[in-house]
Amino acid sequence: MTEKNSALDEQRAADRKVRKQDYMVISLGIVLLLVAKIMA
Amino acid sequence: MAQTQIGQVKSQSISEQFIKAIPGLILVALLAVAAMWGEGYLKANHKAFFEATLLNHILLAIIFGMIIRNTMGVPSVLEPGLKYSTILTKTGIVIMGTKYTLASLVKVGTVSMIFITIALFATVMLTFWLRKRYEMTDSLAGCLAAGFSICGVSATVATGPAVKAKGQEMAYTIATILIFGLIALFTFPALGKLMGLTQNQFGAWVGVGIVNSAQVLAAGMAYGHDAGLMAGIYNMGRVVLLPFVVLYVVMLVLKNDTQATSSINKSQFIMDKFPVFVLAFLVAVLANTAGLFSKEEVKFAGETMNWCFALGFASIGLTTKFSDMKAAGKDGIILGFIVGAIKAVIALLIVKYLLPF
Repeated sequence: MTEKNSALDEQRAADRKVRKQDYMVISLGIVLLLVAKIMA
Repeated sequence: MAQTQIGQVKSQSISEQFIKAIPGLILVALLAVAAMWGEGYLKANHKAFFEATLLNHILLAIIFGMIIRNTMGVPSVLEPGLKYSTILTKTGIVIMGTKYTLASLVKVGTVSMIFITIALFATVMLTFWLRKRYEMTDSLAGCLAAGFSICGVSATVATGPAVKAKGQEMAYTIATILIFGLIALFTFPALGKLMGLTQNQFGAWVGVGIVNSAQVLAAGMAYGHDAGLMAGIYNMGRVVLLPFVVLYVVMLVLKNDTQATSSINKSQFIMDKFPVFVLAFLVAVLANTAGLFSKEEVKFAGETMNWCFALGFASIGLTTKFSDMKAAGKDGIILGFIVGAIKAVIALLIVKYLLPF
């Protein structure tokens, strides 16, 4: 049971890392789109 | 006090990471510049060669990176800067949303759109049905399914990070798609003549049967002007469906993952793994449809997207070892070619005998 929980925790940590990366991508994407609107 | 110390450690860690990444990022930027320049040079000075090989900045960035990695190697001091390929390619996808509008879907027509939609989703289903007979990871199967159903490179780029595919798996899929497309580019026009296809029929056929957008247009134009125009319309209809097919592929990959972990709360599992950056792509499509971007802004955004992809794929090339590709085996190529051939034959029969042209 403890091993199972540990595996789940690891998986959730990995998911959180990917989600955090996605938020970075969304932020960077929005910044670049705003740059496109200003610079064009 | 303790929180301040933790914050300092974290900020030091991030700043240290950034400093360590700079040498590698410089190399990535140099390769991206070389790839952009290379595409411009080929277009200006060797147009026929460029049109035959379709060596655009994405392919050149991968090729340059792979040459460096597999000949002279990459010093360890450069490695930390090569880990940002996913962020760069995902950002390119978000910006890519500005290239599409929902209105472009209407131009294709209802019957054609139904044909395209069925062809795309059937290709994904066929790939996942056949993949059980081959040795490969779910992420590679996901890349192949998306790549061979929609528009090749873009679909692979959109799907790869969402299904957590390795850079090598994306490069492998792109290589398989482009080899298939190159063969199709030189054989489909002759087959079209042999089958007595009209210009519109041929344009519709290559618009579904060939996956890489540039190769679709090249094959259409090779058959004739009207065939090229029809191929362009079909390609647009297919591209519009990219986010929906990517979402379907991601769900299929996650479904397989869920079966392996049947004790986990499935809806929570999918929620946790859902790639939220795809929503940003959809928002960009809707924003463009709503007219929030002018033509100049869309053009500038397109150039920014090209740079994101050039940087991302230079990183992918620099981390792609031929020894790893060998380890991936030939099953991916065999599966991709079987799926591509089946789709092309069925599409040919539907275009020739069922669709009203």
